[in-house]
Amino acid sequence: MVSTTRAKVAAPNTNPSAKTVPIWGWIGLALAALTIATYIFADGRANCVANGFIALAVFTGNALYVVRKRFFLTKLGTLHGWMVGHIALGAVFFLAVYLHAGLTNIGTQGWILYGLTLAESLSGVWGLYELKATPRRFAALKQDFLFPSAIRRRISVLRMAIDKTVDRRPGEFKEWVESSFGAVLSQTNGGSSTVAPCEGFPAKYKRHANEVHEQVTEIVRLRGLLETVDRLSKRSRLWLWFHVPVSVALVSLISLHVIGWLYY
Amino acid sequence: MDDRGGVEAVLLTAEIRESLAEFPLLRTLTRDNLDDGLSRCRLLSVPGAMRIVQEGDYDDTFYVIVKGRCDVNIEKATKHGTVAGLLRDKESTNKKSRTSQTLGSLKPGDFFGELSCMSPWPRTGTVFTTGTTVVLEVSQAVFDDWMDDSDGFREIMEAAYMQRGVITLLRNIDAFALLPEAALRSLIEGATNETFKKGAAIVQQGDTGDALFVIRGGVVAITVKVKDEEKTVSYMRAGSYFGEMALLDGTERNATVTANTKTEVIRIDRDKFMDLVDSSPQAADRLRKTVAERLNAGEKVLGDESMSEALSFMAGQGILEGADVLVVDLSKCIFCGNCEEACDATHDVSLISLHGPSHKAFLFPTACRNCDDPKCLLKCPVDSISRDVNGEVRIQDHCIGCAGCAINCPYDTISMRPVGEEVAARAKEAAGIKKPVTQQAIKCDLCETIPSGPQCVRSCPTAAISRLGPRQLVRQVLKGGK
Repeated sequence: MVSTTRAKVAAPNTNPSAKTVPIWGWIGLALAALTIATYIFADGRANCVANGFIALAVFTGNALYVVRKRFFLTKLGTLHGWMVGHIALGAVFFLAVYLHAGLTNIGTQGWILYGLTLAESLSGVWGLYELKATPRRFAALKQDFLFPSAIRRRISVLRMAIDKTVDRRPGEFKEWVESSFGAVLSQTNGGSSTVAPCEGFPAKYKRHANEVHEQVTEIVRLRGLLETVDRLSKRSRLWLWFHVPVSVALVSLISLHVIGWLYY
Repeated sequence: MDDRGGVEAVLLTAEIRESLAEFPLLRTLTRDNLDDGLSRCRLLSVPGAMRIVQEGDYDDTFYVIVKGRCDVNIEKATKHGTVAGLLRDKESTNKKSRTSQTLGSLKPGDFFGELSCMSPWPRTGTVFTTGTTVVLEVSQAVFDDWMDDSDGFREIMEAAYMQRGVITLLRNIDAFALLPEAALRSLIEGATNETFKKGAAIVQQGDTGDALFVIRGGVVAITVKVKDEEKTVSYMRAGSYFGEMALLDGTERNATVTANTKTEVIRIDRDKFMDLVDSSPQAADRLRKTVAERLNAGEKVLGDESMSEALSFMAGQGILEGADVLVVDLSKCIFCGNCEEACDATHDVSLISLHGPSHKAFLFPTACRNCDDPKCLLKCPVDSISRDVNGEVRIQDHCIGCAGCAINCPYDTISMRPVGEEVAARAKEAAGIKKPVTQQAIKCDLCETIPSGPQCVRSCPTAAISRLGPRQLVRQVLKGGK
């Protein structure tokens, strides 16, 4: 075939986010410098308004991370870039709110808002810790299968292999499999962690009986592993149960605060 | 009118057929074979300067020039890869840029494209038309028929394969790049083409050096025996050469070279090589410089257990064979599953399976590696799996779900998924079979239709997942292994 145009070559993707960390680091520092400069050089009210707007803009930008996370086919940068930006802007938000409020004469609403900002920032720090700790927790398992989807896929392949072996043998073999492992195989999640010994099978099917026994044993091992992995995943995401509700509460209260300021 | 930039398909009239039959190459065919083949060929008229084949493309069409002229260029060294090269790149950022080099001009009756038709490797040069040109486009199937049916045709092709293939390869090697054509021709006189199966030793440590080897295709691993233990010190890909150390120093082989995948090498006789070294001090200097670099790199690897382990692992797992490999850095992965969700959202089914061999913190999930010599392409009954010009393996819509490719894939990267009635009916009709289609093969396509690239990579919040070419892969794993 005559190729008149060079087709797009899939360039190896070393690390599309390699430059993201320093860029967001500089943006974060610049915004932090801006808030501090505003605090130093602007008078009380001007500082309050300017840093309030900076905090609002930064918070809105941070909230967009949630949108990007669910919006897969976008050209708007890698999720890692957004994540780094989310962290950098989160730090700036905390600083801007502090300088905006001044923590004097801020009233009940102000204290609640400030408390939520503090809680949000602390949950962010917890999230940062989880980013480092989660890989270590999984690595400590020292298992060949680590991802829940891969474990589930493997279990399903083993189930198919057992079904295939059973289907090709006469009824007596099927009965033996049913009576020995039926209870274990019928469980979809968790269940018994012990497998009946490989005995009582029709003599001429020794090899297949051993094969099925090994496969059932592996399924049980993988189910146990799946439970452990699921537990670790849940633990790693525990902080989100704190971070997200606090964020929602902050959105609501910030909206009320801004509306209140605009109208009253 | 052809839809590609003014290229026109010309009717193959009886008169043109007669004149084609007079070409020396086509004269080797019987009239029946020629007519049968021509009925399946296309005659194309190219209006001006235009590229016909592109260096590095995986394409398997053969061309005969009927009218006009074509220039053959080589632009760059293709897929060179050695640890010495990596270490050199790391130490120096002044990368040499090779300019395009014209190898020669082809006239009516000449042919090109036979190298890719006779091997699984990509194009080794770029061919441009220089003005209005008419070419006969011969498909791989017709080319294979002519090779089977005519001894004369096969002999010409095999001679061209040796001459052109080797000279193009040598031109890509720094030490030989500037040598005159006559010196290269003299060097390859008596050279032979040898193919090795995966795992076969091409050169054994301790043997006497009797030849230089240039890799035409595949990947080799270089191992050194240290205290009864084989340690991998390097690997080489197509376009590189080995065996020069023992020849230059007159010593025995200091390493074992093993085919890591099906590998094709050109064996150049020791005497011819030494004649060239004696007659060209410049080439000899460059060769000695390469030897020094390789020895230095080998010592570095041997001095660092983790580098040697990493190379052994990658060679053993066939990872070096891949042109594009999915890697998960487990020290960054938070197991959020976003990569799979992104894949699912993009393709309606998750094509990646996050399980596979791992080395230290690196997991190599069983995603398609677009191997140099893909086993999955073998024996597809309806030709629904193929490799495109970029070397990517693709499964077409008319897959009938026989699972042959999934079984042949040594890395378990192809899986079968049930298909709906509409898709099944379309596939059945396109493939022209009677048996119902119930499933189809699926595999990762690197998100080729998505402008922003692989979505699993772009959707990882911690940049733990990446797709790497061989050089980046080795660099990253060696770095991580330290």
